[in-house]
Amino acid sequence: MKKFSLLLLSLVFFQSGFSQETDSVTVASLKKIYNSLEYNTIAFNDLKEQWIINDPVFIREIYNRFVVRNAFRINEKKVTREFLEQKTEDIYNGHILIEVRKRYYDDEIEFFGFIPEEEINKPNPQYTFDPVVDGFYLREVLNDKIYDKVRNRDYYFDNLTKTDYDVKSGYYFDLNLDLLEPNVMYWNTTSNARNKYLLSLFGKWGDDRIMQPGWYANEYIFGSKVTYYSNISNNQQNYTYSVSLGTNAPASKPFIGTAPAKPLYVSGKALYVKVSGDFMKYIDESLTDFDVSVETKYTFVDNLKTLDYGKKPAKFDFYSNKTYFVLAVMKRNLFNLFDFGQFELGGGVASADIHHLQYDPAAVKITDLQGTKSLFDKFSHFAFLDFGVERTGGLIQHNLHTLIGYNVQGGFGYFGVKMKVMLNDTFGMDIRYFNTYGVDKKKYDPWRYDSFLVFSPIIRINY
Amino acid sequence: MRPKYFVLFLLNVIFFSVGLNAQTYDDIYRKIDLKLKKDSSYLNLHYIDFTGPISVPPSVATLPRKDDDPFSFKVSENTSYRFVFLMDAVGIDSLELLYIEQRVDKSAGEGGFFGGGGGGPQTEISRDFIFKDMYDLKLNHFDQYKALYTKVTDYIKKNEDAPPEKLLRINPDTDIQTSMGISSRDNTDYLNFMRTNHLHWYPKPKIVTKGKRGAVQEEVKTTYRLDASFSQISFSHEIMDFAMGGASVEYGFTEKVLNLLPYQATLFNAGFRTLISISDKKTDLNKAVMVDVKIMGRLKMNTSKIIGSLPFVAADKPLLNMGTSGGFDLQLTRPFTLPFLNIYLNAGGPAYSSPAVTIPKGADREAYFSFSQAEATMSFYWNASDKMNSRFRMDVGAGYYDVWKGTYIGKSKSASKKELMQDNFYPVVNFYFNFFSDNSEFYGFKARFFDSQVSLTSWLKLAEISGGHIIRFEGTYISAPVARKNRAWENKDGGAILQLRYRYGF
Repeated sequence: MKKFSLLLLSLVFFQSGFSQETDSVTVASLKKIYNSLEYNTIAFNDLKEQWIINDPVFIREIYNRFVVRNAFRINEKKVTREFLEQKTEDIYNGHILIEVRKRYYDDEIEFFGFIPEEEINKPNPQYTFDPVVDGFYLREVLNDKIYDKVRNRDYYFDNLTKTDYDVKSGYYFDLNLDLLEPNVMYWNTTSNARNKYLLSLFGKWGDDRIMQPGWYANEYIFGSKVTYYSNISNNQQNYTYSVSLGTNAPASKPFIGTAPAKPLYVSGKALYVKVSGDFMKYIDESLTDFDVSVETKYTFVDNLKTLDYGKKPAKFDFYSNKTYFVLAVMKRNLFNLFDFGQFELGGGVASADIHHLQYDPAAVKITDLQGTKSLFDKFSHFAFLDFGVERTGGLIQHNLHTLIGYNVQGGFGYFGVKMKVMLNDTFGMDIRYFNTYGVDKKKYDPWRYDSFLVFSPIIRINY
Repeated sequence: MRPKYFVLFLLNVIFFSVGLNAQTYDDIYRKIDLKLKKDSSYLNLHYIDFTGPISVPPSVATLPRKDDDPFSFKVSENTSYRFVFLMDAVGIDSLELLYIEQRVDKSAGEGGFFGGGGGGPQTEISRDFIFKDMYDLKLNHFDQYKALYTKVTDYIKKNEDAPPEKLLRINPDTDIQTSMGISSRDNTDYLNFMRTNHLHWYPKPKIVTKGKRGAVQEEVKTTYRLDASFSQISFSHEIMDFAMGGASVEYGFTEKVLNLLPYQATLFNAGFRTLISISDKKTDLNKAVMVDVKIMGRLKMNTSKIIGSLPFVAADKPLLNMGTSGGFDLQLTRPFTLPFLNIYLNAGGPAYSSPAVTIPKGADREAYFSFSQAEATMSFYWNASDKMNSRFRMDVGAGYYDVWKGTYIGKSKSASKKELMQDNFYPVVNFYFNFFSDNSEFYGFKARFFDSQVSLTSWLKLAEISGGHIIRFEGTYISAPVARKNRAWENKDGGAILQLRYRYGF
């Protein structure tokens, strides 16, 4: 008997040792086959329709079907009565919900798991039981009627289906229709398959930094621009350099009721040049993400004749800006501000001249009312600080900036906010509001307003 | 513990653990067999049908089954066997046999009641050797499994040019989804748009369909094409197909640049249009550089007299006179890889006598005229997805028109004073949307912004009758100026026109 016991004992150890190893290999192999039967769509898992069933009575109904069918498993093993009773308490208390996911190419369910409430948002949630990963087995457990009800979502549920709002930059064409600064990229080429030269038409209505926000500027600048990317990038701000050449045209002021008694008019044909880029890295390689820009408008043909301004019935005074110059530096990607966007900080200086002119229908030529002033004296100088956050990618993109400046000769300061918000980089709004402070009324130009509000809807199509 | 009880305990441990494992196996076997039986679309499995009298090694002529009597291959002319297996799966290194299906052709040699086999092929399918049996064969009778495995792999090696058939019924190749939409790099989007919206016919590639018994049928091409609505008409006949896309003529009461509805523009148009290729690829429409050019003549006509009595136009009488003029309308497909270009020019000499519309000014009258108009735009096309159900186009550019004022003393028909009111360029943006359902046009929309006015056009297909007849319901609304004051020659309110549009042969 002793010998027989010894034999049995060794058989138990041998059987349980060897057989456990063999069984686990076999079970793993079977599971591998089971999981490989379907066309694999793992790349779309996050885009498949998924939701949480949180209707408490319906959850009990489903739970009960699993109990009746003895279909609950943990690590492929049936669960014990004690464990089930414990979990049933959680069901009573509404602590267990059901996560469901559909297949990508048809309407069947591919994932069905009971999940404790507190596990829902975790990256690797611990499910109450082994999730069911086969809709046909689930249909057998639940029966056709309940399975179809689960699929059709005729109950209370929370949708978790993700919509893909990933924003990409295309270099085929880019229509950025913002009235304040439109850009239409219409041609591109490359010289080494990594870089891109882009040709665009651009527009520019006013300039915030010399306190002539669009609408109020009475002048629209338009022209052509070449932009160079040494490496194509998903963020279009990562350009290497850009050169713009343009000219000006008179523009009317929309939505503005009473114009100042002495308005600002265009008084000639101007040349506009802007050069910008990430030039600082050529000084030192560590100085990256600096956007340096130099821009100027210079009127090369003056409208000196009265007839150049059309036929007006009476004499009036007006002002005109013929030349301006802006130097600005902006450091991008300073730090991530609470996931709200990348903080950027910049500043610069600007100069703009103002000519005080008079139109007289009886006269042949326009009169310069400040003819005794030298050209240099007609310039006033600005210093400004510009900071804010920018966020690209995702569902909502935004660029929120604050601009604070001071005009030395004009005796006034100004501050304002610029908000550009885009939805999926396709639809958006550009809103800018500026106000003045510390105004010296004696020096303040009569053509200026005290506050400025300009806005424009944006439509962007980029391929 | 007495040795007897101890032995009993050990025996229990052995049998209980064996039972537990069998339970787990059965669970998975059942799930796999259920899935193989029920899932008719997603199974990424392959199969080989061994038809005719099957030849298998004697060792596998009869195979043991787990819960049933042994299975024997039936060697018969009308019995075939389908071997279903898994290959190319992640984590599975070699081919895995899953089950064998027996398929008996009941129609062969079994005439129907009236002879001849009755209602076509009848196959009796039975899954006689299920996954559970197959996997048990692999675990416990490996030699037999190997023999079947070798039969399948040998067949695959011998037929390398014809890979095994698939059970997969979904079609990921045609259901490819893109999140960003597409814009074709050739003329595809342009041609799609023109075929749907253009007043004139664009040729289509010959569509060849295979009819019954393999007969080749070409899509019927009509001898003439007609597009007619209440405001304009175009016509072409196959004898005019001397150019790439033929030639055609049009007549109408429409004005392209100004914010005027048909009949609000005091004119009558006539035009001759042709489509030519200026590239080497003259027949490949998708690659060709094409010029769609229309030469137009325009006569001034006092349509303001009838506009009030036209039930389909809801608009005030115009305040602007149009002049007799001539011009062209040209569309060019991507020259030098630039966008699609559209250039329109219409110019006429000053003709102030007998204006159709005058505005009283005391005892005298004033009349406003536009003699010249122009527009140059670039067109960009894109689609919401590769299925091209939602098609978009946007034109960006500039438009121009002049306005002159003539002053008429008393009842004089000749202007005593003429002055230029404006000759300005304005930005113009046109946005188009076409919706297709099952590759058939269904709905179209156009929004145009020019000189602070918005015009909206929308159409809906009402009927498509076989033979190439299409009827659409179409409406256009032009707003009053927004964000600026009305000018002397502009109506205070907007206006609209509703019309039916009939297209034949497009």
